[in-house]
Amino acid sequence: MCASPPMTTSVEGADYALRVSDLGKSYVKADGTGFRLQQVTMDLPMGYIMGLIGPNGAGKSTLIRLLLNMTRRDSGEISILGRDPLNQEEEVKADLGVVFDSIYFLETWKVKAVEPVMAPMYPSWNSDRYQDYLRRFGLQENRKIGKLSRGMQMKLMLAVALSHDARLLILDEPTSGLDVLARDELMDILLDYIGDGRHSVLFSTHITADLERVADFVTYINRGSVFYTGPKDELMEAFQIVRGGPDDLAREQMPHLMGLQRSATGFEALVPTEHLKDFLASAFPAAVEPSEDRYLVERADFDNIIRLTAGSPAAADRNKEVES
Amino acid sequence: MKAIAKQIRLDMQRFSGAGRTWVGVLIFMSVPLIGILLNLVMALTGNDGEDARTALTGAVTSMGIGLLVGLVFGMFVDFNSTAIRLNGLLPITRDHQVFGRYAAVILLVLVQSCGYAIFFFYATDTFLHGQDHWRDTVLFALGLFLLESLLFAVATPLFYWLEPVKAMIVFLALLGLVPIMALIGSLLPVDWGTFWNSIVRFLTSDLWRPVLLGLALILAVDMVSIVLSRKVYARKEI
Repeated sequence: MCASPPMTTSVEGADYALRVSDLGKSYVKADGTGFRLQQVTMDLPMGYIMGLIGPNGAGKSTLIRLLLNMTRRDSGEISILGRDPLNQEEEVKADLGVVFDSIYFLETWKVKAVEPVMAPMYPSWNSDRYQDYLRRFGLQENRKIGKLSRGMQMKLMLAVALSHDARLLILDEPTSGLDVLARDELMDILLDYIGDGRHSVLFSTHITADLERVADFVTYINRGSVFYTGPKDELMEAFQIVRGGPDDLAREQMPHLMGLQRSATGFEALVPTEHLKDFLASAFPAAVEPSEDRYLVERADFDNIIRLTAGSPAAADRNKEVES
Repeated sequence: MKAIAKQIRLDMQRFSGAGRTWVGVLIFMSVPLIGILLNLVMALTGNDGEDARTALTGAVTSMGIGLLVGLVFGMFVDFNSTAIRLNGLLPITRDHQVFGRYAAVILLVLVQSCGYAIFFFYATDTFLHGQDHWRDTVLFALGLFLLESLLFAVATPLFYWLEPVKAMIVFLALLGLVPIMALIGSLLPVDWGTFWNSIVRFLTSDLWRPVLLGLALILAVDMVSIVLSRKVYARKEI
C-alpha cells in the first residue's frame, strides 16, 4: 500500500454537508487479498458538488458504504449534515438520497410498487414530484424493474432520491451505464438541485468528463488513501503533463515528477506545477523553457492524473518516498 | 416505534412481492381460510367423518408451517441480491429492522393462529379427544402459535447470518436433528410414554398453565433469537 499525504484545502466558515476525518477500514477481499482504506479526510461544504474519483478498487465504493453504515468503520469520524450517522442514523438517512451503480429494489417488483414502499419511509416524500420524474424519465409504472435498462434503473433510483427533499445526494457511479444525452441530463438535474445552496451532492465516477462540467470539489482516492481533496480547479492547476522523446528524460528529473509512463515513442510525465521549473532545469542539456521540439507541456486533466498516479511504478516510488 | 412500524410495513410488502401490505396478510391468512372452506365443503357433501377432519387438520397445519418457511424466505429474499442495499439506505436502524421483522412475523402468526382457532372450532371437536371444546381449540391454536414462533426464532438468526439458501439448508439440517434425537432418546432406558403423559396431564389440567408457559417460552426464545439476530446483523456488510 502506498499513501501520500492528502493535499487538502479547507473552506473557512462554511456549513458542511459532509465531513470525514481519519476514516479507516481494513478487510480481506473475496480473493484473499487485503484492502485498507486509511486516514480518509474530506469536507464537502453545503451547496456544492463533490466528485469522488480514483481507479477501480481504490476505495470509492467502500467509502460510500462507510458513509451509509453499510459496513462498519474501524476508525475515524463522519458527520453528515452536522449529525453523527452512527448515533442519529434515522435522522441522517431521512435527509439522504442515494443512487447506487446497480438497482437496490427487488427486480421482480414493478415500477409502481416502488412508491408505496418508499413514500412511508420519508416524512417529506412528494408524490407529485416523484410522478413528474417518472414522466420526465419515461419510466412506465407497469414495467418490471428487472426488465428496465441499466440507465432506466438508475433514473428510477434518482427519481426516488429526488422526491423526498434529500439534503445530500450520494451517487455511486451513477453515469456508468448512461449514454451521453442521459449523462448530460443527469448533470443538469444535479446543477439544478444544488441551486438553492441547501443541497449538496457527492458522486463517484470514473467518467471524469462529467466532473469537469459540474463538480466544485474533488476527492481523489488512490490505493485506499486520499491523494487530493479540495477545489476541482486547484487539482487541475496543480499538475502539468510533460511529454518528450525516448531519450529526453534524465535521471536527475525523476525526483520532480509524480507519475511516469514510457513507451517506444517517448514518455509522459505528471509533474506538479510547482516543480515544473526544477524538472525542466534538471534536463540534460538544461531546458529552462518548455520547447515544442523537446517537451510538450500542457495542463493535466483528471484522466491523466489518475492514469499516471494510479498505475505507474514511478508514482508508487514517489509515494513511498513521500511516505518515508 | 415509528421505525419499527415502517419495517413491519416494508416486510409485509416484501412478502407480498407487490408492494401491498394487505396482500401479504391475506397470503398468510389463506391457509386457515382454505381449511374453513374445505371443512364447509366436506360438511355439505357429507364427507366429514372424524378421519377426514383429522386429515384436513393435519394438512392445514402442515400448509401453515410451509407458509411460515415461505414467509421467512420472502422476507430475506433481498439478502440474495443487490436489493439488500435498500436496508442500508432507508431511515431505519439495523436494530429497528430486526425488531420490526420479529414484530411483523409475531403479528402475522398471531393473526393466523386466530384463523386456525376458528378453523379448528368448526372443523373438529374430537381431535384432542377432550371434554372441553373451547379448551381444545385454545390448545390447538396455542400449539401452532408456539410451533411457528419457535421455528421462526430458530431460523431467523441463520438467515441474518448466511445467504438464504445456505440458511435454509442449515435450518433443515437442524430440523433433521429432531428425529435423530428422538431415535437416540428411544434407545435410552426411560419410560417415555409415562413421561409425556405426565407432562400432558400437567399442561392440560388447567388452561392457564399451558397458555402462560407457552407465552413465557415464546418470549424467552424470541428474546434469545433477537439478541443473536441483532448481533449477527450488526456485523453484516450490506
